[in-house]
Amino acid sequence: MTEQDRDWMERYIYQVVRHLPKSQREEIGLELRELIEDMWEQSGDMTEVLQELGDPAVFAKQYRGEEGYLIGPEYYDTYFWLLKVVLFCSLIPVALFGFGEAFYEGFGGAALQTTGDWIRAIVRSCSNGLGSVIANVMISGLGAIGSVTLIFLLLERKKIRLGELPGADVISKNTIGRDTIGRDAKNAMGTAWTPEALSPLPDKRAVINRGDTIVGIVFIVLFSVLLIFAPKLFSVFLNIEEDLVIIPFFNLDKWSLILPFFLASLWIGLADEIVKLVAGVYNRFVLISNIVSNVLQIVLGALLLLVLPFWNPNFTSELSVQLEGVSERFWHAFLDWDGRKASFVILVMLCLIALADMGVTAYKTIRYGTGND
Amino acid sequence: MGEERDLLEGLLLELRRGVLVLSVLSQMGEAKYGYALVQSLAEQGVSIDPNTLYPLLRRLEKQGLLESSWETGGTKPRKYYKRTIEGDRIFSELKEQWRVMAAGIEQLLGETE
Repeated sequence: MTEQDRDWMERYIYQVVRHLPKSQREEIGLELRELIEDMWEQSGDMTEVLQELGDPAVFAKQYRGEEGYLIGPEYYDTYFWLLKVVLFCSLIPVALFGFGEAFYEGFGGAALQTTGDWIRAIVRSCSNGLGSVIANVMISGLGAIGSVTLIFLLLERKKIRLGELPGADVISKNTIGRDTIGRDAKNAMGTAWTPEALSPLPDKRAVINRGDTIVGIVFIVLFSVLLIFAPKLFSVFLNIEEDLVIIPFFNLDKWSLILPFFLASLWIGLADEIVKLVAGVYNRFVLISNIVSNVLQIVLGALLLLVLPFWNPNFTSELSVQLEGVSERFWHAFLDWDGRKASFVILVMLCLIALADMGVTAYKTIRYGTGND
Repeated sequence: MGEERDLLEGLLLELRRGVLVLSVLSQMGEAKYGYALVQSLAEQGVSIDPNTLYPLLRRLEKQGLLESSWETGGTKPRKYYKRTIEGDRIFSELKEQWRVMAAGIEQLLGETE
């Protein structure tokens, strides 16, 4: 074998084993070396040998088997659909806020007498805004893709087969045919399947449509975007002597401490909505996920509202300073604002909403739901 | 026409895939190395691409039907595969099933002629 041939052989082997788990590379490398040398001794032409062996990536795939995927066919449709929804309702608001802010700053304080002034202001706004918009769109896009993928990844890795319960047709209408053989084999592990195992068809009232969950999902994503990129929107806006005065409700100085808890609470809700979406029907999984997420959300809510410095501590003092000489009654009402009282009221409301939500879910699951033994 | 040929090739591939394990197990009563197996199968008209066979050998080993050992005595190291006792059992069971199936299919095909 010439140096040149050996080089081709090593290149080929490298291309196969680089796609394989580290632990198998050495041994498979040896196997391939043996094989290629044998084949070369037969034909004497390295190009011919490698041609016969075919694409190294295909070879590696054969070695790997079919296991290598992140999101399997069972979840793929739902995953992809949800990804589009989440990206759509996070990226567009992020871009709008970014440009909105840039325009607000670009036009703020500028004298707009001539067309030239206008053009300058627009150009200034766009050029200032563009960089931060691109950066924010990328960050939130990655964040959205990451969080949706993570949730589905957990479902996939933990082999949580929400779809095995009634409603499988809702989530995997295209994949069931492809999947059946493999899945039957898995079910056959130990326990023999009998027709009694067939759950009754879900009651129409137990079916969760995409429409039911999408409202919740869109709300959570939009709210997350607002909290991350524009927490200032949750403020009192006063127009005092041509100047816009903003007094935020939240404690924006401590925002980096508060935001993670806030988002965690929202994303637990998101995970719950996704479980509903994937299950497609009220059942035991949905009920458990609903109870867990509601309890966690209340705990996080209590932490946020009662323990963390959630509210802007200077809200009333700032407001009373600004309102001096302003007669508009509406805003004066906010002078009675009391963070502790508000926390308490909000927490009670959260608890009531959570209780109602758990109640409805439990009722639907027990009354109409199937698959809950 | 090309489509029909693709279809036929796909179906043939599936047909062959079904008997692949049986063919390989049949040859592994004595220890053999991979390429010798490729050749002996090809001589008997059951050709298998190395890029299918080598991964299959590893899989069968993982499933406990084959065992392997590296021979380092010769001109170069060679990996030999051989049926395990469990492999023997599975092989004779598969052989039995194959004969029943082949007879059945033969009969089915005979009816159409």
